[in-house]
Amino acid sequence: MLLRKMARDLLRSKVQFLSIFLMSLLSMYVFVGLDSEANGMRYYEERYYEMTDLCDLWIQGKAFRDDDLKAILSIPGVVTAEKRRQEDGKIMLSDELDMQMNFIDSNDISRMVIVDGEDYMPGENGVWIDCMLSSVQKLHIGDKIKLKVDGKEFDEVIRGTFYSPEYVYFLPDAAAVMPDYGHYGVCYLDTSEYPVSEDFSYNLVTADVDGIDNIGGISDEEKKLGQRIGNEVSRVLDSDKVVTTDKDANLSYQTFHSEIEQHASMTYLFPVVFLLIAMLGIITTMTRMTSRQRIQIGTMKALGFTKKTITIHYASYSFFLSLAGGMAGAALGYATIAQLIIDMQSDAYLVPDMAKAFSWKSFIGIMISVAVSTLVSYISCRKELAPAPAETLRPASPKKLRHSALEKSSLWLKLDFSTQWNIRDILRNKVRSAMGMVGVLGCSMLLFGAFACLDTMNFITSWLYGELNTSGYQIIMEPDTPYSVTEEYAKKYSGQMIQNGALEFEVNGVKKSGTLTVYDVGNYIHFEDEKLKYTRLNPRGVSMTYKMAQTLGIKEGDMFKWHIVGDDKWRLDRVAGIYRHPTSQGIAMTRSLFEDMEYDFNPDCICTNVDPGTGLDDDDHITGVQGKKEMLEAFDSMKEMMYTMIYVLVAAAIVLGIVVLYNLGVLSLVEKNREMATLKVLGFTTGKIRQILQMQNIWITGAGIVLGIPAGMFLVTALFATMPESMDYIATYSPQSFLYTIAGTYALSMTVNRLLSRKVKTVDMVDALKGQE
Amino acid sequence: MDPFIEFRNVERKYMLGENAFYALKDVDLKIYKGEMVVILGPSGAGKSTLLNLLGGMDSPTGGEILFDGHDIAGFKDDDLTAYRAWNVGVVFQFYNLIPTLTAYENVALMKDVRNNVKRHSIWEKEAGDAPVLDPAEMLASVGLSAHMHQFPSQMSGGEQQRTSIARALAKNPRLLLCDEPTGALDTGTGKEVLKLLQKESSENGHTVVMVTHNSFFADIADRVIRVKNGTVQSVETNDAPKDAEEVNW
Repeated sequence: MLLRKMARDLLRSKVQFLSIFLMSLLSMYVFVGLDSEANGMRYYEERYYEMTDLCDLWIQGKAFRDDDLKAILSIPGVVTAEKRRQEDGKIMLSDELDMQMNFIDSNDISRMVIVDGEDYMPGENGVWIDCMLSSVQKLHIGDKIKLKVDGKEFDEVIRGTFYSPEYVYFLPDAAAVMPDYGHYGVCYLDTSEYPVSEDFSYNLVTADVDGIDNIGGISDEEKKLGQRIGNEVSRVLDSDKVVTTDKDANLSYQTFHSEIEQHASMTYLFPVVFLLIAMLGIITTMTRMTSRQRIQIGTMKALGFTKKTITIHYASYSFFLSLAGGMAGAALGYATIAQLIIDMQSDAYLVPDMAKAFSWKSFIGIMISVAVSTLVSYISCRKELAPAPAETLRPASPKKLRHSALEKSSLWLKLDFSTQWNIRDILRNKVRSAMGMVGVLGCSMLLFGAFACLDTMNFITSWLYGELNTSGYQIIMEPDTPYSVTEEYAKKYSGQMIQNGALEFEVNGVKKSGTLTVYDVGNYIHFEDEKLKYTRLNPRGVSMTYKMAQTLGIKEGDMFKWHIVGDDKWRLDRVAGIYRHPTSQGIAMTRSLFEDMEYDFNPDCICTNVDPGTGLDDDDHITGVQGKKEMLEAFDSMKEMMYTMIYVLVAAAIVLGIVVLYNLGVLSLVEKNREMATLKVLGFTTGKIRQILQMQNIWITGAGIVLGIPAGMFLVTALFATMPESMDYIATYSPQSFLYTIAGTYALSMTVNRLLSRKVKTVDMVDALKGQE
Repeated sequence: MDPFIEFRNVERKYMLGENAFYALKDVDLKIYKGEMVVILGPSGAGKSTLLNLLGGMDSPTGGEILFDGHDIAGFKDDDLTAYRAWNVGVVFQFYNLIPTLTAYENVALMKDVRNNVKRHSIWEKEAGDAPVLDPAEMLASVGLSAHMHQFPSQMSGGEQQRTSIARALAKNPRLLLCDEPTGALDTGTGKEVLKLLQKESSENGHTVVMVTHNSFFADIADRVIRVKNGTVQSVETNDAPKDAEEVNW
């Protein structure tokens, strides 16, 4: 019978209970959606790397011979090792596209997953190309293609298409920001296919190490083991030039793994907000409900119901609602959010069959949501359950009212009736007012968060391509282009030469990978300090990016060790300056300082404002030319993802705002029914009463917005804090975002209030003023 | 004959700040099995407090309350709940039906009460032969067969009170407590309710205790206990109680 009572109570107060249901639904919708997506990515990442045995170490830096491989294999801990030649080449289609070529003897580690065609066997001829290139360029098995490497063109027949664990994420060159698969590619060929046999040598050894697995990222122990084996490799090969890097320094592994970690950490941010609001909804609704049902509770006690039974009865309202909401949210989140994001991620990360995956965390999430809701419901109603039945059977004694300080002040008398009435109403219904404020806070926080995300993305593009790099074009040079050739191009196009490279830092025994950028004299590249004020590179020292300094835990003036990847010479330098860069973290210095350090300046990029035209791409020394337009376009796909997130946030803000404000509005109207009827009897017009209600709404909305905007700033900062270490995204807020948030929240709040204040007209003076039962 | 219920020197005081207010003081009274007792007194006399203590809805701050030989005055919450569940049926002035349950469901609620009460209590053994009666039969016995599936808001005051009586009797209680059962009803309907209560005592052997400020009801009682200012003023035995039909107010 109590279940029937609950069902009918729920139906009677459906608006209030709907808000608990919807908040539980929203909370689990976002949580399960994001968790299933992050969990799916993690599951398929680990499964893929395990299945294909992604190598643990990459050893580069010299021409490797068979006895070098033997020496590496003799190092305790090295399970398998393979040598290969990796070279940047071209595929000649209607356009000449970049193609990274791997000439291999075997494929026992970092194995290809063949999508179409035959498996690779040592000694086989033909070429295996990545499946995105094949799909976008409409290349098929058996097609004859022309490849070019080291200036030599040669024909190959496509034998297969593949996914490779080393190419989950890859870019055509150092200047690219986002992948655009299919417009450049990767291929594997047997070493016998290398077109210039007299020049052939192996430049890369991949190794699999016992003690480093592909589960849960790289642990500190695994990192140390990798470093120890790296040192051993240098020792057994007796070479200064050999550099061993682990998966943390691998662009593909690092980017994909960071993305997963970032998504996993985002999983908790939004659901907590919704759960918090659901809890506030439960407190308000259940407190009101049990206080309204006080006599019923007393009757049930008098009839012999145990306190436990009555407690379970009232706690079960929230239990069933949050369970139903949580399960519906989980199902919807899994079907929509998880699918949407996994589809977007599948475009950026090439993992076969990557799909969403429901995790135990989702079950726990639902259980926590239900447990918290039930507990909050219990706490809210225990006040009515505690006293003896004789006391509960009596109507509650009226609240003890005291005059607030404001009411005692002389200012009080100067206030008009509407203001006095609203101040008293707010002060005497603090929970309801606070709940309204929290609802508006949540709504404006999400709206502001959504707009600020867009502001930040816009800022990053204008910062990067409007302030830091003012060139219109970047000419990317082929590797190993002689300096004199690059210099000639620089002169021809009045450009600034830049050398990009990878390096490794060490501070207090902790190693980190980063970038090295060396700038020749020029006026296209600019620097900004920690506070985004223009600064100059210190010509006498090495400058470090703000984010890298933070990651390493050092500041200007501190010492750090570094070496260029491919060069075993470690240097100890002082941080001579700090600058900020959104997408590349490491150190920068002037060419003259670099050369003073006895390094050769080998620029790989020229920044210019002179349009090099279309023919330059065909030049043997030029990898490609990127115009500002294309560079900005690379950000568009990132913005598209952001837009999806913004739509979700705005929709959530609207649902949240409507649900909380409508719920509270109805509660407030029910409670004020007698007062409104009294005002009507006294001669107040419906319009005037509406105006009084509207006034309170304006105050509460204003207070909610004042708190909501800083909360939105916190949300955006927290969101960008989860970005990978290589990114330094500064949360940015435009005046329009403030304006849109304030206007949007007010519009929503006023609309809900307008809907509710229609009910003022229907207040029945006779009915409302009858004596209470 | 041993009394079924006995109050010995019972007091119920409330603290109002530092001052004590006695709702009942030094109350001694006896109620015998199967009799109909009317507790009479003006507003604030302490009659509702007396009823609350009898029904185990409140505990005294002093004295003993013996119910069939068991002192319920010192009972803890759980035991008092079991006492109410097994022994007491209550009829309220304003019926106190659950508005979201139909008449039938309100009566059937008593099955839930018995199913959820503490097991193995002394009352279970003693009242073990008092099963919850069939809700439909109970409603028929108060003349509400036709209204069984109506919600309280669809019934008149008299119908609601009769449902309340059916609910109280469904437990087959050893003690039926009525708090101003006709207080919200017109005379005609009130008489119908009184007749039902009188029948429970005279024909079905239930002990019925009715609290009222209406002195006309003294005529239908076996005994009348008059209370004033928290004390028992007098206890009168009525040798020839009138039929409820004959009472007018």
